[in-house]
Amino acid sequence: MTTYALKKLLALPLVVLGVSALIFFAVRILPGDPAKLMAGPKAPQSVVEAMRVRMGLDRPLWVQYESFLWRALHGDLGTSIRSHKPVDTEIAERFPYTLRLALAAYLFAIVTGITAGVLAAINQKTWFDSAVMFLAIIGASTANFWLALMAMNIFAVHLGWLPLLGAGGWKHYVLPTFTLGLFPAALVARMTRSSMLEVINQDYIRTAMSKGLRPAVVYRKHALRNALIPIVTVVGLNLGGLLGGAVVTETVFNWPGLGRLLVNAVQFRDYPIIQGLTLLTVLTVVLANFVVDLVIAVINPRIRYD
Amino acid sequence: MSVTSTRQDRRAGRPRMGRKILRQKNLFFGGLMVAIVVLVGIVAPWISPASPYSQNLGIALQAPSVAHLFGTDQYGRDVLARIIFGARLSLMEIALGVGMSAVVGVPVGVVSGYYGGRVDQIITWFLDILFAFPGIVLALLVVSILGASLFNMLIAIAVFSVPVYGRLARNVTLALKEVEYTEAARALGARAGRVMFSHILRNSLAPLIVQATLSAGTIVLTAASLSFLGLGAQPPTPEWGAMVSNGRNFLGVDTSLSLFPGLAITFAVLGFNILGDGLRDLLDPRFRSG
Repeated sequence: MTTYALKKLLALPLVVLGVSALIFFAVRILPGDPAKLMAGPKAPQSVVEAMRVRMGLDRPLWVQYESFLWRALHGDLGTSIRSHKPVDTEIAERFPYTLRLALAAYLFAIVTGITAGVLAAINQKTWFDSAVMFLAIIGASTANFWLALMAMNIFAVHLGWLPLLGAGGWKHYVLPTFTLGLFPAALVARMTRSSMLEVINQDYIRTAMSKGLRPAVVYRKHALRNALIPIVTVVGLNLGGLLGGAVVTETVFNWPGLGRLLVNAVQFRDYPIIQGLTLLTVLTVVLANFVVDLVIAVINPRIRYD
Repeated sequence: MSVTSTRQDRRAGRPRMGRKILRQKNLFFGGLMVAIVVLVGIVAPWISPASPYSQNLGIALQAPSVAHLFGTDQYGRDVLARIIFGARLSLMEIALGVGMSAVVGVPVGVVSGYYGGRVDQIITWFLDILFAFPGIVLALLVVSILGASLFNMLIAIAVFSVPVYGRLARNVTLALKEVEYTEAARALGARAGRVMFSHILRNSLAPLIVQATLSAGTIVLTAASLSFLGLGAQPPTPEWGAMVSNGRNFLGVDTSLSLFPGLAITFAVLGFNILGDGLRDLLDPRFRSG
């Protein structure tokens, strides 16, 4: 187990190095002169040149990459071209909003997904099972921005029950959470159902039932616990998808989080923000995948650590 | 599975396959939905009630009626006509998205799996890097470099789909390169290229087709999302995501502007997802239920 964890851990820096290099060099292909953008459209050539030297753009590309990595490791991700604020400050200001929304969406996805999946599995081949699976495949096939608009139209515009845009009290969370959480909820429901069905037909479940245990106990303690591995995998590996979904959801709801920051940065070609934010997102996903791998290895001793 | 039983299965394969297709509701309904989208896309100019571009401010923002079944937008353009032509655009997105990513990803994956060693390590490392990006974030990065346009968006989608095909082709190759007929081909003196592309690739088509069908849905959704964000198809292109985005400005005034293009997206994606599930059940032995 320790060797497995170490092996996985040692592979991390290689991927991180590759990801950072890809982002750094990709952003360098961006059209437009960053020094000119930073100095402003009316700045004289001398100021642009001074800015170029200050930003280190006059140095060879690999030296720039080295210094970018070094500064990034120390939390310095550069300065936003649009707001002239440090990128890490911009990210830190918006991070709590995205974190809270993502946690709410995850909670929604896990609770509804697992409940629906378990109920569908134990009522296999009934109308309930078909209904859950039908809803799950619709949930996985619907564009979240469209769903958001339709929900806004009903609950905010027509009924006036929920706020239309922005972040604030708990009511502001309802629609964005539903919009962002529906896709993962659908995935979790489908995975839970198929995973439960595999377990339910095992001998030890029949034994537990014939011992006279209450079905609820058998399903919760014997079946669900053993069906958890694929569910944990789906939930963990879907973090990237959730962060991607946040980009769209935050834009629709005018949510002041990282997703909207990224979309605005792309529209304005604010490359330090694009670079910093993409790097952080990918690092989060890579770390999450690493943790998922470890968690799976811990809860499933059958996995061989080769 | 022994060689003999494989042969028997293959001999009895055809009638069994036919019955299976009929028995599989997923294949039937998914296939039907996809067929409808494809057919609408092909015959768009003949069935469309109007040109998707022709403006008439005199009939702007009309509610659905007999003359305009899905209503009209703020320029008086027929929404149904734009949705019908949008199907054509979605099919093009799928064809180019799947095509570009498979053309790059599959050979890379096959080479990686076939040669193994250092080549495999480097390719896997590169695929892992691409895999670490959430699809839409990588697409945003590519679009920010190339600029917002329909074609650039498709390149972005292809870039994030490449590792999916690469990894799949690699895994299938790893399994197939040890199979007897591949060894026989090698023993007969076939060159590596021939073994890879005429023996291995030909026999890995089933999982690749399943993947292509499932990723068609993802492509439609991502393309619509990027166009919705203003980073894909640009006005006045009749793209479903861009149409929903346009309807956003009339929320509470005229919901049909967003409603119908969104339903079209769901219909198409649902069709490809159901068909993909069905094909997987049919073609992928791991999901076969007896």
